[in-house]
Amino acid sequence: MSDYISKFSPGIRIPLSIIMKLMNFIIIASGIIMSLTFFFVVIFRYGFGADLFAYEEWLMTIAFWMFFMASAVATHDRAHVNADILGTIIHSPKLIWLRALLVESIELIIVITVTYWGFLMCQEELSTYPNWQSTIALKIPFMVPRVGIFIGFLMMSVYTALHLYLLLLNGPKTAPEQQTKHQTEEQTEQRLEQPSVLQSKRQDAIK
Amino acid sequence: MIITGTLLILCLLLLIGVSVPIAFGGVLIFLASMGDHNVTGYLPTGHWKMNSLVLLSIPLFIIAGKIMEKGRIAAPLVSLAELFVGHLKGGLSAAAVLASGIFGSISGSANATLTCIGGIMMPHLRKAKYPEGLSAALIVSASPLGLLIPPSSSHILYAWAAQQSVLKAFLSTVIPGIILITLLIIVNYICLRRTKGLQLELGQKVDNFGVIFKTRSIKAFPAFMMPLIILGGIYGGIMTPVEAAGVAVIYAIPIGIYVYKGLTWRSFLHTMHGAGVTVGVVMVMIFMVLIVSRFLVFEDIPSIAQELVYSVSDNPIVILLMVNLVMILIGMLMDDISGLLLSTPLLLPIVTGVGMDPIHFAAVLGVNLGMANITPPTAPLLYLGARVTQTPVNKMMKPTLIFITFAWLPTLMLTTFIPELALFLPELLLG
Repeated sequence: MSDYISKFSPGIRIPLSIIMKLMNFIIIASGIIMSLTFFFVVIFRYGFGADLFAYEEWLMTIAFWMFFMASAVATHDRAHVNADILGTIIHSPKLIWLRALLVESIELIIVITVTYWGFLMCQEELSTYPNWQSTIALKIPFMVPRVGIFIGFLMMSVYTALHLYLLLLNGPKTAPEQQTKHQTEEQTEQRLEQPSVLQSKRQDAIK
Repeated sequence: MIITGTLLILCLLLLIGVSVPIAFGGVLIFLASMGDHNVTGYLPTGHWKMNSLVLLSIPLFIIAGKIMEKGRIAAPLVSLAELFVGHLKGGLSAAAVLASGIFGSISGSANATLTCIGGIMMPHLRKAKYPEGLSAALIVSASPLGLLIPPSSSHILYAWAAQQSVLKAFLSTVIPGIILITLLIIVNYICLRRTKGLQLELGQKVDNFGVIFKTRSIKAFPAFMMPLIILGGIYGGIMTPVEAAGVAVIYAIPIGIYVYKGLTWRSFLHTMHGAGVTVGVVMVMIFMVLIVSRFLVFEDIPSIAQELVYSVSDNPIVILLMVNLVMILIGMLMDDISGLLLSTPLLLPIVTGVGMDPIHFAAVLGVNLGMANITPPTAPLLYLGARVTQTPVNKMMKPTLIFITFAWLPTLMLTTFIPELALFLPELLLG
């Protein structure tokens, strides 16, 4: 991630890095909380004959934030699943670049539209204040997970726009890299590992 | 018009390489432009539909699979299997298939199974001079066993989408899974029969079998406890599948870190992050597919599709073959979870119309989407398998097609046309 974000000016790079760290924290913490919750639900039930009160309400809220932050990170890492049939047929760098340009443009248009729907959803939710829809027991406003959905799509738009910008900026020479759309967990991980390697190399160079 | 437009847009976007959730977003834009829907309601629909605790089993199984993979929890299981069959011709390959079945039953994920078992078995198979392409293709072909041997997150999703019993859906694919395991081993053995130079003595070097068996069994015991906890917990009525998935994650962490030492606390966080990103990929896909399927149902597309299929033929065999073909095409274009969520509302009314039990359909869907995931040209598992086993795709293509034709396809046909294979266990154990 930081490999291409580092190409931008500090005004863009610093906020994007902070947001990424925040999203990574949400992803890891949510995964741990989710697992621990179900573990303790079982322990409480058989160990103490008790129940975790309305845990599903706060857990689902956390889960929605996790899903959409992780999806934004996946957009950054180009880890979303795709069927990449054309990628196996075309080999000319220019054609690959043009195809990547087409795909990124279409994705940007679609994801911006969906982000706008997310904005409308939040706007409508906000307009009902103080009679917000909320969960039954803990009264958690639906606004909370829905803002997570909106921010997730917003960040997906930002990262898609950055991919497109870099594609246009660098021309056909970047096409093969742009084409490596990741389809699997392993690929996702490779991308996740890459930034840390690049970062350490960069730090070594600075030293 | 809507059905044609939806399919055209979806296929076009997927074929040019637009990612699956975004392609479904494109379909939503099309639906918004065609119907009189309120676009403000699209995303809240997704939120409503996905606001279900049952769906959390999917991220938890993904996390459990990832921890098992990184924690080297499968390695002792494989070494135990090798002890028994390593000295037989094709035995090592059979061990890979069985290990995929066992690992798949714990992780419930084809990707995790392939990465883990492929990474462990391929060096052993290479060392024993097994043909590279055939072995890699076999590992790839066995990796979707995770979708068939319970618990499978795909079946939890199916049961949730089709309003069926999760336990029955789990049990529906056990016999097809066993048939597939058997066929894969037989087909592989036939392919190997003229292969010379296999180093079968690797397994025969074991002199003190009893001692080694005891050592390996003790080492494999904590790993064997995982399916016991998950399946015992679910079928014993102690835990729901979601709770079992959560307990599996918590159990796998100390096992991976302190027993098998594949993880450190630092790499654990990294693993959680990697798993989290995969969760995001899968769950947002589900979110988008759920919205699209909701609006397709709203537009009465399932009834239109039903009429369309019945207009071609009213013969149940022809209809089931057509349904299978559609599912294979869907599975070739997208992953198993999206395929399942799209197929269930569209195809379930059609197959129930010709008398198929929804639990039987769960088995057909499981086998079908598993096969589609290894069927070229898209075949996401095939390409992942090429990387994991470090084998060129062109070397794997022919043997993969052999396994599809002689193992997967017969399993699919048997599952489709012999309902007892899917329904016997659910009826026997759950009534």
